[in-house]
Amino acid sequence: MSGGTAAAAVVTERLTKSYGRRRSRGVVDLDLEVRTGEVFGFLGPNGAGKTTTIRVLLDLIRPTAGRVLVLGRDSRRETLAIQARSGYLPGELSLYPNLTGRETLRYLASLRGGVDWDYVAALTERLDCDLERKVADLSTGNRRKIGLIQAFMHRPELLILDEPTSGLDPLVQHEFYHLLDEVRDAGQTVFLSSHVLPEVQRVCDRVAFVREGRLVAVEDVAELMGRAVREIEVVFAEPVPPSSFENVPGVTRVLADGKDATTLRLTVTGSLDPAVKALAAHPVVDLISQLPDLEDVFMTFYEGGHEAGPGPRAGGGDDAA
Amino acid sequence: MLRNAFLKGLRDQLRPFVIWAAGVAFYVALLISIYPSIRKSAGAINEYVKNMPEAVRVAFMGSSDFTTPVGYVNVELLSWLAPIVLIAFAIAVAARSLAGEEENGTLGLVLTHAVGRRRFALQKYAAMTVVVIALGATFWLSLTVATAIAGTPVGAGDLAVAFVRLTLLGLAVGSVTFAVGGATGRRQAGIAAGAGVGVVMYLLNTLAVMNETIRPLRHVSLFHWAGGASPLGKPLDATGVLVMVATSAVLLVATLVLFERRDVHV
Repeated sequence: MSGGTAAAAVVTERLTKSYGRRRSRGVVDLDLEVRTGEVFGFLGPNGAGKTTTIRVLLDLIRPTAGRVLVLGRDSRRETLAIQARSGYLPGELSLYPNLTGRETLRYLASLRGGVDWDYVAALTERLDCDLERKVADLSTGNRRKIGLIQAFMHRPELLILDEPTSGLDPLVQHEFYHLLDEVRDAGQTVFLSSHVLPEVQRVCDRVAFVREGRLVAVEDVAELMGRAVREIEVVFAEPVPPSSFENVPGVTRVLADGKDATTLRLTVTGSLDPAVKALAAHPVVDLISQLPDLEDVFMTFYEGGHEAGPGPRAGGGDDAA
Repeated sequence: MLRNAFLKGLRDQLRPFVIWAAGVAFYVALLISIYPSIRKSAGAINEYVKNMPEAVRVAFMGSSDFTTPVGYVNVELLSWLAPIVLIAFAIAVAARSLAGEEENGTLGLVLTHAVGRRRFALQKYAAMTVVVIALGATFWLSLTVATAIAGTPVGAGDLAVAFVRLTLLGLAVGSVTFAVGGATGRRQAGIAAGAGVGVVMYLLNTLAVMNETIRPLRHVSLFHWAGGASPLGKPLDATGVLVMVATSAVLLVATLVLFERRDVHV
């Protein structure tokens, strides 16, 4: 139990994973700390190294350099102890096509030495999952449900979920979020990767953003959303000069759209409140606010050269190669 | 059948096994049923065999006499078809075991359920061993029953000895596929390695019988240890058994080491 914080569920120390002879990089010098009891989001574009990191945690692949502690144990030497206390949903889930959902769960549960079947039944009902059909006959969404159940079924201390909601319909997604809330209330830790912003906003306490195998930032979600950049399009009943909003706090840019100047595009950072109040001084016909893209949130912030506070080496050392 | 990886392995192999076993039983029945008519023309056949090129005769006939039931079974089945079937089956099963699960993507899920890679590989190997032995037993049973019915018994005990050898041969070559598949994660690589080793060993044994200078090399071939061209009628020798079992054991250990050490493919 040396190293790391006692309260940390996952610690990676300068984790590096290179692939193949060309040493193409999966992740480089990744330092992460997931605290016990939090829901931690792991975000980044495809190929950024999210899945690589997750697979190292479970000892499916081995680090080229660096060290990983999961639940206080070394990922290489105490793999079985870690796996016994974690649940994992792969991003690309493959199941046995010739088994039914129930048979799949029975097999996986047996490998673990048994699970609480009442809990499995409860999960099955909540996710509205059909366990009696063969996996081959199930839709992607229904297979993902089986994947979720096998990750949760032994009430693991740590849940490692790779893109958990991809392929789930909205109702099931909603139920899944409830499940995450319960799991968090029970003191379990969740480490999930995602690229869906509303999801992260809804479920995560903190997020780490990775790009090209490097950690860009670790942020508190509430704080982060406080400085999100939004594009607002406003249609007025009469022409309004763009200059009337230039000094409103948070508004960083105003563009007139169209010839008659009845439509304006505003770029707002952080709270929308001052901008909305300023807009209300004029007759508003329509107002469209676009959801901020999480990558944009990170990129505008870090590439813009803002002070990141505790954020680890970001901004300056960006290598686009 | 889903209590562990061993039983799951047996379950997975059940359907292929039934198909192969049915094929074996059918072929054996056919072979024995035409024997009486072969024996009638034994004189002509023996004459024909005598005129065959020596290489062909040695490769396929060994020293067997076509006109006795024992010779017939040796020539028609035990010298080439039975070992090839057992080897091919072992290779097919071995390829599905580790590399097959990896290519299907299920390995990456199963191995996160706290089984341990070595335990998983061992259980898969045990399942392979059981089904290959079962196919060897199917051969033995079919032949014993068929020859008894046809009134041309060749001796159940002798047959058992022959199939112990051939089954061990199949397992040893299957272990090559198991090891290469486990070490690389690629089914095709495992199949190629197993088939390649099988063919080379077969040729080596056959050529060594014909050629004085390479004769000592036959000891490298597992076919030699499995009884060569006429496995039926030879007593079970401890050295041969030991060589084949040791080969499998070494390959299994190598699998456990290499499979434990590497990255699992997505």
